[in-house]
Amino acid sequence: MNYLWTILICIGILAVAFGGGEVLPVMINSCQQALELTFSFVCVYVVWLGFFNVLKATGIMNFLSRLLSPVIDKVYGKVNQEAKEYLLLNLSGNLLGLGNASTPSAVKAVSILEKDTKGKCSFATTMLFVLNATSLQLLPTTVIGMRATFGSANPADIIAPTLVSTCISTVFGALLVHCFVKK
Amino acid sequence: MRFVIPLMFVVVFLFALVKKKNVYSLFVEGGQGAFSLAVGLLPYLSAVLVLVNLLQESGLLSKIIDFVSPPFVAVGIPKELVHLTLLRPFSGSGSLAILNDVYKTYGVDGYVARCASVLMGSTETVFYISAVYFANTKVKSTGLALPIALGCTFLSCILTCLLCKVM
Repeated sequence: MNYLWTILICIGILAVAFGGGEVLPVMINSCQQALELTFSFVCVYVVWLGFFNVLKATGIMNFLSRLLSPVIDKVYGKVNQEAKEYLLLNLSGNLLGLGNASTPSAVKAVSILEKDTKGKCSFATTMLFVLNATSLQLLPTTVIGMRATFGSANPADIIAPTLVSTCISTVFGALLVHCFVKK
Repeated sequence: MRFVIPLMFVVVFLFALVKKKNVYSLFVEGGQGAFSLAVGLLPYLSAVLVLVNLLQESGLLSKIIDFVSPPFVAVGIPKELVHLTLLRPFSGSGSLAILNDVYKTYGVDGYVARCASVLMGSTETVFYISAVYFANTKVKSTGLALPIALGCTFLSCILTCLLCKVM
């Protein structure tokens, strides 16, 4: 990531500068974009993390994660109880299509899992990342909405191929993690 | 579907109240960490966005994409979609803009447009997710996490283009 980023960014800077563009405004505008994203994250985090905390206090997650413990152990390896609850939240958020609930729960899970890690990330974090990055989302609502706007005859007819493709790549990713990442 | 989230909130809040928990202070307490968590993200997001925008602004991105497209075409990805395939891991808004263009140019129900839709729905902004997930940790090396995720994204793209021919 270090070399790739540095080399690409140097090429980018030179290309913009010699292509007649202004480098600094582009860079600063990008950070502005990042800032706007960050602020939208703050709002999503406050609502969901607040809700998660109430949910945790009810003991529902504790009960469910103990119930599903064998499954979680199989997928993520051995993790502590608190992390388990957030991993389960992330999984259900993804599967139920609760849109932006999955990111805060995943970030929370990672911060618990990697509390004391200074080097390589753990098996559980790798698994969590791969599962989320290969898209666990079952209903592609944004795309269906866009197709409807463009007057598609059947906006939802992409669901079947999307499901198949998502499932295969996610299962394949999980298998790769199990084969190549140390527990 | 519209009522799932509202009902879930109400049920959990009331259940907590029944169990004699202080719902108000629990909610506030939970939200407390949100700001620092999100602000820790800023430099990572900036790093990704600065790179993408510089490459896009200079027009280099489309040149690089043209240069590396032959292998993608060779595995069955239509050449109209190579751009989308390669931009997808880096930028969510960028790839949505391309999807928009694809709909305009090729019509929304054609093979290319359906492929693009499925591709969008079955993959994620991998680099962006990695920035978000690892921003608040001291993890130095993400090991195989990124290569595996990118490999699966690529696999998903190939599958998509095959599936759209039959489904």
